[in-house]
Amino acid sequence: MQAYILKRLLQAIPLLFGITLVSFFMMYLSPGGPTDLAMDPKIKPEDREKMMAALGLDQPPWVQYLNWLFHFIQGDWGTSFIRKVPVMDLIWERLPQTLLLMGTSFCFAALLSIPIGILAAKKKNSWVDYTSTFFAFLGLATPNFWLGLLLVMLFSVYWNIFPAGGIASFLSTDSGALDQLKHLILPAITLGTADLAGLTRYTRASMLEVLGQNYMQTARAKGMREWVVVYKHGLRNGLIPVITVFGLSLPSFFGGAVIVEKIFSYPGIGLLFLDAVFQRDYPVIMAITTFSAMLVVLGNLLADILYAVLDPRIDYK
Amino acid sequence: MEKIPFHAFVHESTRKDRSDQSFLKITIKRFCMNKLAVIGFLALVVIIFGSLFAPFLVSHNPAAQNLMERLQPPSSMHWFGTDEYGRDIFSRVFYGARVSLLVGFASVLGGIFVGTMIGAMAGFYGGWVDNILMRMVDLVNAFPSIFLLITIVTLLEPSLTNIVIVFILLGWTGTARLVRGEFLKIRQEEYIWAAKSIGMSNLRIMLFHMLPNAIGPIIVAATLGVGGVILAESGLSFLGLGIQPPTPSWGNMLQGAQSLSIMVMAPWYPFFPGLMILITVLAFNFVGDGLRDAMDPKLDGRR
Repeated sequence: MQAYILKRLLQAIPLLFGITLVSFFMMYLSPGGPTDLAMDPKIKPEDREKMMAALGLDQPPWVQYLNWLFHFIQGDWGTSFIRKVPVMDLIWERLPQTLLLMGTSFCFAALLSIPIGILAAKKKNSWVDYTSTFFAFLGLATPNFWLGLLLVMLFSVYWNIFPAGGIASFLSTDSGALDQLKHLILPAITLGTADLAGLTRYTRASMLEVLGQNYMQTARAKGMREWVVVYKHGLRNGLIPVITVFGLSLPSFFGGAVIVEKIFSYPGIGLLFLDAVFQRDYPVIMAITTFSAMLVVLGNLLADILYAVLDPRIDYK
Repeated sequence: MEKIPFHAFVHESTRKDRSDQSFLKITIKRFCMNKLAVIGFLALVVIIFGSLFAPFLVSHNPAAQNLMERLQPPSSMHWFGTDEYGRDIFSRVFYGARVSLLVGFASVLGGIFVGTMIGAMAGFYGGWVDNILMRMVDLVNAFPSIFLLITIVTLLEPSLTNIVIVFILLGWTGTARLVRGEFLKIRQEEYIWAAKSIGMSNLRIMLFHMLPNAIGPIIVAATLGVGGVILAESGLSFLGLGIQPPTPSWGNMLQGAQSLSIMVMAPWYPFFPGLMILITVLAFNFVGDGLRDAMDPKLDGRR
């Protein structure tokens, strides 16, 4: 088992290098940036060359890449063109908000999808099954930004139950935590709906497979109560693939956060990224893109390891 | 010696049965038995024809502004109401369908073409070719697509062609994996050995013997893929990074509709473009699932 985990970790290393390579060359080929500044006709050619040399831009690309990589590994992710702050600080400042949002919508998706999926599988071809399938299809086809707009229209504009955006109210009688929760609910639902739909379908399929297994018949034959059979014997096996899907849905949560944070003016990584895009703040764009890819690799790794830990039938060789 | 056609060796009755039960016919028959798939198909036909013949179907110019008629509610004059410049939302939705469908079909066709070539090479040759190509797939898949999409679109400037190029650049990996898997299976079949033994070229084997046998899953993936691209494109346009106004697209119509004042004064404005996205994506998903079930030999007769 340890050998398997170690092997998966080692396999991730070339991928991480590939990610930094892609990120660097996108930045290298990008228009604008410090070299554009040097095109100013008021600056003398000698000064321009001096400036390029000082920034290391006269080096061949692969030397520049290695330089950048060296700094990147040490945690020096460059300085924002616009905000003049180290990019790393910006990301660390925004990350907790995004993680909170992702965590909340993750809970929303998981806590609803698993029970609904089990029920749909247990009562296959009943109205419960058909209704959940109908809503799952709907959830998968609904654009999240439209859902977000509709939720704001209903809950903020008409009924005024939840705030339309931000993370805190200026004037609020609620306590801090309650106020924050109120600001979280609409974005979390918007972000989690597509995954809720997908996971419901996935849980249903996985449970259907498990319910047809021989060991379920054996458990029933032993005279066990039905709920023990379903929830203890069935669920434990049926959830193994579902749990790994959670690991694989990490990128969709992180990517979805970009649009959701935009709709709700929620100050997380996604909004930082979009602001950087509109301001052409390349160091921030590249750092977040690289960071997101590393998160995906981590998510996949986690899913694989979790699967190996949970399912003893996997052959580690 | 005169060449004897192969079917001369097959008994007349057998041949007749076979031609009655061609793969295409069985698939169509089973597809038609799936109600949701047929509904999805009909919805797509309506949307596609509606967008193709939009100039003949809508009475308003989608770009014509009329500041006297800003944010009008739906009426017999403007079925879906008007937007903040007094433009007719119904005609903008239909003209927007052209852009969304064009981006969807072009991106998926390109992605399928690139993905099939790469997947076919990986699956056919195996070994180090497969290894390198699949690591490329892993690398592209490692980036959450929205970050890479937005980054590349900002580097290239958003235009319809560039958006399609970026979708192809990021969209080929799924097909590549799929085709590779199919080719790995088909490679073991006896008829491939037979083709090799008579000295057929690799290209010919891949194109005429392997690809036709892998075409089913490719078509299913393409159908589902169009819905996915339409969702992604509308998201990008919603952020202002996709199709640029004044060209109407479902995404950038919603971008115009997202201010709180419009939501209060004209709730129909954000409603209709989003509903069109939902219906179109749902229709592609129904048709894709229907095709998958119809082509799955394991589900024979049980649907």
